Amino acid sequence: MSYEPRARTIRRRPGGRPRSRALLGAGAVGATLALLVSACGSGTGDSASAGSDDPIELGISVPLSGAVGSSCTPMNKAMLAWFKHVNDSGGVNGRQIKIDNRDDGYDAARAVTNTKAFIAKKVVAVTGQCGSLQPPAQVPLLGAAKIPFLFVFGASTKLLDPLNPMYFNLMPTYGDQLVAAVPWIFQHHGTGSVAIMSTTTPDSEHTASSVSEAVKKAGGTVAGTFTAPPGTADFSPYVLKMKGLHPDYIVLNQIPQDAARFTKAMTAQKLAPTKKLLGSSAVSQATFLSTVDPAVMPKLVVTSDTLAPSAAENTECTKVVKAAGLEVEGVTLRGCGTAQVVTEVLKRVGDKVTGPAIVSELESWKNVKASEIYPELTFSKTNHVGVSSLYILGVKDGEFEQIGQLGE
Amino acid sequence: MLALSVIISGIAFGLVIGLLSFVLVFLNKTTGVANFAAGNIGMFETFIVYRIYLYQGDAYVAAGLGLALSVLFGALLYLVVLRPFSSAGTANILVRTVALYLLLAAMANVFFGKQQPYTFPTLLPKGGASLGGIVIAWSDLISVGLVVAIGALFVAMFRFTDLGLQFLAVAQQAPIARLLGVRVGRLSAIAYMIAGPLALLIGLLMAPKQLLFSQMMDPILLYAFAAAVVGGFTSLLGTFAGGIVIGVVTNLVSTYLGGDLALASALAIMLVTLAVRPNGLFGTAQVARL
Repeated sequence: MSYEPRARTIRRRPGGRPRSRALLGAGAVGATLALLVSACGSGTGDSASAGSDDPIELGISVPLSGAVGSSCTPMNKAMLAWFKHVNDSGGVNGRQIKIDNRDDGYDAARAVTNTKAFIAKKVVAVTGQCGSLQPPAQVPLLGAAKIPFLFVFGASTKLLDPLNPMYFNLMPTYGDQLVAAVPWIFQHHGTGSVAIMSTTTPDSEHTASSVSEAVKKAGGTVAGTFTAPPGTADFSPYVLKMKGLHPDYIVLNQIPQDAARFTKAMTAQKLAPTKKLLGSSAVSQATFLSTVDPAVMPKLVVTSDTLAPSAAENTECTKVVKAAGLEVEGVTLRGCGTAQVVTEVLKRVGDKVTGPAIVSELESWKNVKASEIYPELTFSKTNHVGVSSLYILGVKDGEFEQIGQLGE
Repeated sequence: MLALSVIISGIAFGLVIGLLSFVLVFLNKTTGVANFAAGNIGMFETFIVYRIYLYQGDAYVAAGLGLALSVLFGALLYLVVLRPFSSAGTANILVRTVALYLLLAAMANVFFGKQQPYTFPTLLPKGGASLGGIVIAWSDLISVGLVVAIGALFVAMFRFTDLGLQFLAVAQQAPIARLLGVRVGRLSAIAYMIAGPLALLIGLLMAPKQLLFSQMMDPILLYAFAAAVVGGFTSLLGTFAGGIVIGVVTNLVSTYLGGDLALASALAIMLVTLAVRPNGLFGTAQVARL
């Protein structure tokens, strides 16, 4: 899908209907090729121009299909809705925003292909990525091309250490979020034993270790740490082992789909933490919540770098997201909020929008309220993670609601 | 106590693996080719059931309609993908099944994939029985019962029906069976008409637990191949034994050695079986008269 502010040409392939069954095979091959071509991306357009009246061209490589497509697609649609809203309102400093929007299917190789296309088109920035798997493959390419890579929904410590000057993020790493949440949850619900369930990722070991330290530091004990490969078919062994530990808290350091399967296995085996089930912003979304058994919902507490939908009722984002026919929930608000931050940066950079100018502008931000959805943002030359406070969300009537805030 | 719980859970999981393995071996025996797409056929059919469910609201009606449609879907796949130029050789047909596997995944992403994974309605009762601290889910018990019933039905079919006899004849000596008047092409179509609902059944058992998405069968496909090898690629009932071995061992490995080793342990069992007992636990060696 590609959202472009100006008229675009739709190419239609001339052709007739196969006349015989013998052509079915050829038709199937054609359909397959068409699928592959469409899966490889659909962006078209001229190179970005430095002229002040030309559109500001941004690249988005995002999983619209694949393992995290369900989480990322609504976020992407909300981003595009906000950019359309900006364009319809006159653009940024009189210039339209032009988006080359490409599906990478949560596949690093496809993300690299998309990124090379963005570099060839000389987009001014790449944004809107979703997932922790693809950015490590994109960052070196964008860094070498001096194109800012703005605000991935996903957080990996590998991207921050060593820090690439072109890489900026809004949310703290999932590990940092959980580490920050542990003292809060102990303070509000009492100390206790903690079991940590992780999906195997480059960060999982580091995160489990950091959370364990935070638990001990806050006066709790670590009952056990568990790691399962992404896409694990049967979580029963983990649940059964965890059940024998009788944890007061279970920490979910998982990708949303695995967290959903894990909680389903918990329900099947009648496992529930005595106190709370704690997750990061990776699971602070409606798609995850819809898979959680109602009996487990009251125990769920998650961190979020964006406002809960119930707290964002009167924002411009809510209006835009609703007008676009999308559900107002965590990921759509995040998409809209991220687009607001991108728009604010472009606005502040002024007429000469270039990669280095964007980097320089962001690094000068201190407590800037760039979005209704995110808290104030602060960046510097050495800190490229903008959010320093987090919202704590619980569940009421099947929906997330804000119950606290960290680092106010 | 933990080990016993894990073993029971592994048996339930292993029988689902065994069912997919059964489909692979059944198609291999009746058509000469193990269809790599068997899992994704079930995934695609489960998506169709989900669409029907969304349309009319009753999961049981949707499953019933889906089972009927899956018979046609199986036949359609055979007629469109495998039947044309079926004399092109085993390698050609095998590659077609790999292409079908990829095509079904891609088509599922295109037609159903935008909001996946989906929460699939459970068709089996929730909850379970607690025996001495071990929870046995009703869904697991019923799954085991279903798989055992299917195994018994197939044993009866092979032993007591002409159709079963013809399947066995084709499986053992297809050219001779053909000379004796067995219509091999027709039998292959029937095999796919049987495989379609079986593949859907796997999807219906898995989707409520694992969510419905286009890659849902990928993790167990490798396990199913391992189970087929362990059971003996020529033994239909051996697939269930192989599935139980793989399910129990991988669950024990996940519990005591770590989840990252689960798949490795299944593949190791497969390799060891091939090296030490090439015909698996229940397979029979091929004997040729010289």
